[in-house]
Amino acid sequence: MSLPDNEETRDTADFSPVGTWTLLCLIVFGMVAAWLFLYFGVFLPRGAVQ
Amino acid sequence: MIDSGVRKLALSHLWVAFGAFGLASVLGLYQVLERSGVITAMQSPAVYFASVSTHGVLMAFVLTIFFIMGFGYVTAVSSLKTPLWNPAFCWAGFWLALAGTGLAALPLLIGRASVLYTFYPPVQANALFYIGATLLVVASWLWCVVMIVMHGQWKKAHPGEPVPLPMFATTANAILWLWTSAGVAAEMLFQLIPWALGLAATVDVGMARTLFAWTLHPIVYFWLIPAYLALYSFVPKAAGGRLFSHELGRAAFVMLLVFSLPIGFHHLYMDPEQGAGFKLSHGVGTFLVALPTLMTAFTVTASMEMAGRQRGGSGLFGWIGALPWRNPMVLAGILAAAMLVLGGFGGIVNASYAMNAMVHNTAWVPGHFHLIFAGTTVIMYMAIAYYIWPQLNGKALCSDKLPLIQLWSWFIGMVILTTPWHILGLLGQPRRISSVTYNSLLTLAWEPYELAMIVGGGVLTASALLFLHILAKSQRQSVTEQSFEIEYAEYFHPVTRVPALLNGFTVWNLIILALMLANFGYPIAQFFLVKTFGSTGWGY
Repeated sequence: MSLPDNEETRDTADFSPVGTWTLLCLIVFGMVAAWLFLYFGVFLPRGAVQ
Repeated sequence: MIDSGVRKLALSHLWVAFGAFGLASVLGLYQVLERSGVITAMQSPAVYFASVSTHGVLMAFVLTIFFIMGFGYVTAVSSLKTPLWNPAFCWAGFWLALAGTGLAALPLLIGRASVLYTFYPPVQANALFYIGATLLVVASWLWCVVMIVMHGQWKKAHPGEPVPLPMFATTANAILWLWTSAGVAAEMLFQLIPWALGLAATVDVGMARTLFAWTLHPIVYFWLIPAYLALYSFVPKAAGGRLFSHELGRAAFVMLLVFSLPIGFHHLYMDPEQGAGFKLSHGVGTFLVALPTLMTAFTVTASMEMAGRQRGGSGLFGWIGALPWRNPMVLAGILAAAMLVLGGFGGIVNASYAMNAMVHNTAWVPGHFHLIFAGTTVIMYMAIAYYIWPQLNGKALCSDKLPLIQLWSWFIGMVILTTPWHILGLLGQPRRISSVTYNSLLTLAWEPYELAMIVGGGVLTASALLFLHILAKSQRQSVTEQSFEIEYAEYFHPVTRVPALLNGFTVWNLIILALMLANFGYPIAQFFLVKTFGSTGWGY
């Protein structure tokens, strides 16, 4: 796998990881939503241990 | 430059690790077949539990300890650029670990140690199993000594300079393992070995489970830290970029060390021997240990984003497609992250004090830990092997395509295996059972998922054998010119100095001591303060 050499790369001095923040926020949101679904949608409806 | 002695030492460790992995993978396929009941002639609880125990011990202890030791030696000499400290001592560790593995294997393979890798009493094994496993752990302590000595010597020779991140992480792992393994070592030496030898008639099951809980959760981070090391130090380099933050990496490894230790009681939520307050305290700690994982996710993903944008990726997510997916390290890093997200979610459910009741001791739990360990951790071990194999052997990998096929098949197989496993847990299937063919309406509903798991197991076994084939074929190739240097990611911001707290472990060890006393002091002391009742051995 050849990588672009330095002349081809863009300047990263002002790099801001906006894509990373967005991706991680989506993942954390998804995990919280899935947890809430399991808690309120699956766990609580099963009721107390008989 | 890695000298020939270190290369031989590392390869010896790695071949034992991967040999154990290959055998364990084949056993895994047998286990999904046996459990499903598809082949009636295969049904045998005795063979099944012997197999599961061997599979677990090989994967959780033999693969990991030998891999971490071998990779640790490579990391130490290549990142510090110093010779290995006391090679004879390192070899002593290898042979002691091998002897311990051999001793433990004898009773395991003849069904005299079918106690699973957690060996919870009162299920009892032949004493040779406990002695062998203890020797394996003691041997790993020799490795810890080597890592700590080399870390200290380097700091002494380079006052004020930051210890290279790969070595900082490896030393953190050595210290973590010394703390972690103290619990299981105490259980072995003071409870299980005397009991198995007949020197004690009974065993205090509550105390044994408490001591094992000391070990059981941080051991996951002992397995995981080499994978995180690769995410920080190899993946950005392989992607063509740099590490976004050196300091965040150091902080994450320190937090993994400190937070992962006093949290093991989330495995004991349903146990009667510990109080609700201590369980809640450990439960809160379990959520805290998610922080360094989130920090790792951020730092590594930002490093990848930087690399992707350098390669021409644009837009919010265009950099993902621009990454070099055909590089095994990059591909493994992405697949490992995907499995970490899924497995991490399962872990959050497990750690939730109330909701744990829904999944406790169900098939959900092995589904979860297979995703984290066999998924995230092992796929990074594979990528590390592909990365360092040419440097250790002086020969290029035998193929560019085969490692990619192998990594994809491992990921796909793991998803096919663990998704139904989680669902089965929610449907109420208990874990640690050898058969599900009861012909009731409930268990009939499990069958499609059991069949899917066979497919997953088959794909994974084929992938594991392909992995061994690639390594063996690469090593047998005729010699080609190859550098013996291991290259690590450079940093986005040049590092000249770091705070002393992020360059050493003295203060953190004192904090760990305080946390361990607070979280395990009374829970262990109570067994000496109140009357408890021992149990005789069972099952052997």
